[in-house]
Amino acid sequence: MKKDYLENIAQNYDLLVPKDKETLLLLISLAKKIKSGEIEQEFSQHDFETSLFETQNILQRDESIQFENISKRLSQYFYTTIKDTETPYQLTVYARELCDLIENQIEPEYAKLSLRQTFKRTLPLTDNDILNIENFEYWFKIQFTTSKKIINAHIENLQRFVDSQISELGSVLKVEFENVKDKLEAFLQTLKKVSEKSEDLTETLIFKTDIIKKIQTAEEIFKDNKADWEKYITIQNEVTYFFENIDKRVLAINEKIQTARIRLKSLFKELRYKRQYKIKLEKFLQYILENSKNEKGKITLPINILKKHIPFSKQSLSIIPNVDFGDISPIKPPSFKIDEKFEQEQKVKAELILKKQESIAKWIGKIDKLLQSGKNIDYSQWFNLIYEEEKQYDIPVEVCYGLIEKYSKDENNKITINKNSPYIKKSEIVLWNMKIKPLNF
Amino acid sequence: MEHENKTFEFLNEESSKRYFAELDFAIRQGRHIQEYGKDYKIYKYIASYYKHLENYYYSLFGIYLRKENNDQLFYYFLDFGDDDKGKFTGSRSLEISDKQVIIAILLLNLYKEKFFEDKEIRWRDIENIFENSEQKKLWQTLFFKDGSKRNYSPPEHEKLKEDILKILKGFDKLGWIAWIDKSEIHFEIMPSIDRIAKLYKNEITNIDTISTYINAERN
Repeated sequence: MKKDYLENIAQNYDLLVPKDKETLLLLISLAKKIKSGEIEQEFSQHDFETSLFETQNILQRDESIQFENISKRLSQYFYTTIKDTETPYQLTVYARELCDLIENQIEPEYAKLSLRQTFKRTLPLTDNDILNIENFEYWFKIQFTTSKKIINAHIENLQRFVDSQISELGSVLKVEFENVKDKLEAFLQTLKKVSEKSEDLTETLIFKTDIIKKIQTAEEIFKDNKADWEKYITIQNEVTYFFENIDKRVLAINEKIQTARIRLKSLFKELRYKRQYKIKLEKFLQYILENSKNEKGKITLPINILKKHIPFSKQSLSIIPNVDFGDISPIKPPSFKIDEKFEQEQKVKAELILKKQESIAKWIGKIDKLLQSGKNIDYSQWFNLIYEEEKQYDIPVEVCYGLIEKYSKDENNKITINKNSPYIKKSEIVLWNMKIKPLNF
Repeated sequence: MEHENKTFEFLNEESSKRYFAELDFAIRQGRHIQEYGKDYKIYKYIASYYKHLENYYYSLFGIYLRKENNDQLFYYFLDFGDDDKGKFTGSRSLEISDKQVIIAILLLNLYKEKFFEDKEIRWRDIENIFENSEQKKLWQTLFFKDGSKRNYSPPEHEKLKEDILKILKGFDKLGWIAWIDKSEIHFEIMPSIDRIAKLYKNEITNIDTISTYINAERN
């Protein structure tokens, strides 16, 4: 249903809402004339056209506004016609209420009414009002809702006025000093009056407590009937919420006024200094905006505005993260069958390599001892000797390499290798004759 | 600076056991303490033991615990001496970046303008300054390099908003602003925004001389 309702409004929008300034002003002009008695509630085409002409003058339009066009737009919701009469036009309730709403925004009528009087006569809840649900609903819809509009309008008006005054106060710091004190004095007086108005509003609403209490007493009357009870609760909640909302808004307004008054009083004492300081701040901002640069996305201040530092010591405590391993099943390596034969072969192989290395080290050690005792070494003989004992060529060859590596850069021993008279041992190997001679002996 | 009894007996008080640690963590990280929000209690604590705390920080750290006010609203912070950083040498200081200086001066100006009002600022207020104020071109040249463009792309706007938000987050840590709604960039400027004016006191006081000198150099 909600969707249909909204779609309906969308379709009829152009007819529901005054389309432009001309239409709205025309309506308001007619409504005002009817209120003041200048024209009758049922008015003629001449009255219609005259108001249209006046609207045209107010808006200073060169072209005349077409009566037929406007009339057609307004005919759906804003006026009705009666046939066979010289005064066939009559504004609808919708048109009149719309005009009243607008008028109250611009020139609030209610402001002239005493709020206290309005309240006293319309808002209080009598025993008759809570006699039954129909009376209670009537009080809520007619009296309470009407008063609610007036109270809300008063508060909105007060809020708007306070905001505009405070906003205007800001300009005080910019005017010539000689006029400022008078202006401040005037502001103080205005704020004092506004404050009094706000206090008046608060006092007027004091008897809201009576209303709320009265509604609470009505609980006994409505609790036995479910339908009545639901209506009662709805009304009670709305009334309570409304007064709470009013309290908050009035409190906020009072706080603003008080803050402004305190600051205004303190401003008197330091006005000249504050104005000058404010001006300097503005100039400083202007200066840094004009002279700062944006280079490759980096903003830099003018060079004569130095960097500033403040004490800063960030403290952080390292916390070792709590890693909860929870229930974890350890992963075991898979068991596999050992190849014992292979393992044995590898073992033998390793032992052979180790043995070979031991032999090499042993022979090098022996030769080294002889060299240290001053003996010359003819390696060809040693080659033979090592081969005879070890029964393999690897070891004497490795011993030879070992000796060359050790003594080739040794200053105390000299290696000579004679390539011209090789020593041949076996057909499969040929040796150059290598001698090592100690030099210090 | 008077050197009182250095045993700092005030630390044995019950209120010190409750508030000193929190105060110390906050103030040494550059925070400005004022009577607002979650700092209310440590503000009261500093106010009660100001002289003791002042002595404490000077004796042990070689820095000053200052008490300043902005339109009669007080705030406390740690500060260096004229030529001495005490124990806060090396990395124990925070440089106010150039961007931060510019935005802080802007916020300070807004604070002073709103002398009679609340100091709440929303993103649209800042955007309005950048796009519609008298200094619109200067702001746009500063942020977008090209101040002559009529419009800036959504990514450019978004980037600017992110940059400003980052700066404001830093100010929140210093206590210069207090978030009302961070996601909407809605905040209240704190009295301690005045600190930026204290840091640049000489430049602000002598701005007329500086401007005249720079203009003369250009001509």
